[in-house]
This record gives sequence, structure tokens and C-alpha cells, in this order.
Amino acid sequence: MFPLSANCLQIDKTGNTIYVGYDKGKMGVIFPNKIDPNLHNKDRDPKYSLGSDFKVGELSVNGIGINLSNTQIYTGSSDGNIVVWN
Amino acid sequence: MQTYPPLTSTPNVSKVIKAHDKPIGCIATHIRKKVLATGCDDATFKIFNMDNYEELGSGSGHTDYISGIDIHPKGLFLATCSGDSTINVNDLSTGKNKITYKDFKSIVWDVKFHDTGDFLLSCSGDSTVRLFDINMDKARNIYYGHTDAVNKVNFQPFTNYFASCSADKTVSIWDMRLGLTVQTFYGHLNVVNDVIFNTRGDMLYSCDADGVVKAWDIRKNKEMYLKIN
Repeated sequence: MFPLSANCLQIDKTGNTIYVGYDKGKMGVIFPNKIDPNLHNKDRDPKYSLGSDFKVGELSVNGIGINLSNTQIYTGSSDGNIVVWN
Repeated sequence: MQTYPPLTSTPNVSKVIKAHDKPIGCIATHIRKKVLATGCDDATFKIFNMDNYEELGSGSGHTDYISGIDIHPKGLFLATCSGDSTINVNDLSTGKNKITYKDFKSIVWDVKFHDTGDFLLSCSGDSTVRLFDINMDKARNIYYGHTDAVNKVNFQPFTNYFASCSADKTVSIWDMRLGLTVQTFYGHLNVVNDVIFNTRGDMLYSCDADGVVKAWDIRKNKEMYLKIN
């Protein structure tokens, strides 16, 4: 079990990647699906995997946003900063 | 159907913006415009242009921290909810308050506009979810069912269903018009902090205070994967 509280979630516009904001400045990346999301449910790979996690800062990540064109991620955290990710 | 490039799985920091002096509690992006709104523990909100990262505006109106924020789908309004147990809807063209909803008994934790822009959904520490018609000053519907604070709500895309997650460790899907719970998912062992639908609306993801993220298949009404190890 991940030892930190998961505060917020965001899913990218393709539906292939989920971003999770944790305490202590961590952001996790999860891949819910490794195959074409347009396939029917029964054809989906049932396995979900934690891809990796990233250090955003020292304090809790409380909000995650994704831009219109699905090219940038924004995280808002308890240090008052917005971090823009490419 | 619009297609998008996949976001990278190994993101790199491109910019750090010092937005507030106190903690940012929530952020929201607009579905069609390049703007980002932040709500802060100092009871203020700010709006940024994400092309050049300039601040477009800011405001207050609450007496306690801002716990949830959302931008109207047509860009007309900004809704904020707060620890002062109110919701403010501000007109973005004039910067003035359009309406304040006050009939809560506890902290309002989240607000979300419906895709049509006609309705605003909120959830509260009083265990209820409330739906407002943004042209009326009273709740159009109150949804009872959770037994502890409701932390987040989210609409299923382009439908009249929404999901809620609660400190009672459950995730529920509701019919907005009937006011009834359609499905309740059990499995979290701690407070559920957030819930989102995928863009197709057939999967639901939730995360809790243990750091566990769960995936729920709405059609099969079951959990797809237990937890992250």
C-alpha cells in the first residue's frame, strides 16, 4: 500500500494515463490501459499498473489539471506553487 | 471524434509559477479556453492564462479557505466553495458576484458545473450533495445517502449522472433527475478523497487517504483492480 494519502486525481484526454496527487509533494502516474481505449470493455487488458512517481515539491499536491491539447499537466500544491509539466 | 496526442508518462517540469503565498487547495481548467483557476487557503482565487502564465484576475468573497473551484463550460462564471459553508458564483465578465448559496450546515468541499452549464453540483461535510440551477437561489435537489462528509463530486460526461466519494469510504453514482443512487461501490478502507470518470464515462477512478487508487467498471458494476502496490 502506498504510504501517502492520495488527494486528487486527473485523467488525460486519451484515457490512457491517470495522474494522482499525493502528500509530501509526490505525483504518481498510472496506466489503466495499455491497449486501444476504443476497444470494447471485454477486450481490455484488466491489469492496471503504477508507472512511476515524480517529486513535485515538498508539500501536498492538492489539485491536478490538464490543458486543452493534452500536452501539459498542471499541479497545485500546499507550497502555493503551480508546476507546469510537459 | 477528436483525437489527442498521448501525454508523456515521464513528465518534466517546464515552469514553476508562484501563484499564492498560502497553500493551493484546488485547481480547475476550462474545457475550451486556455485558463487555469486556483483556490487558496487565504480565501482568494486567481485565474491564469496558460499561454503566457500571466495572471488574468483574482478575487475573494469567502471568509475561510477555498476548498473547490470550477469554471463554467461557456466561460461565463467561476464557482468557488469554501470552509465558510458557502458557494460563490462570480460573473467572469464583470468580476462581480452573481449569487451566493448559503444553506449549508457544514464545509462545502467541491463544486462542479454540468456540461450544459445550467446546473452546479456541490458536496458538503453535512453528508449531502446539492444541485443548484444557477438561475435560482435555492437547491433544486438534495441527495441523501452518504453517512459522512462527501469530499468530491464529478459528472459523468454529457449525461445526467454524477459520482460522489465520501469519508464513509464509499463511492456512489447518482441519477441527477431522480435523486436516487444508481450504484454504490464498496472497497476503500479509508476516506475517499477524489473520484473521476474517464472521458468515455464507462470507468470510474477513486483514490483514498491510504494512497490507494481503485478502478470501477460501471457496466459490470465491479472493481477492475484492487490497489497500487
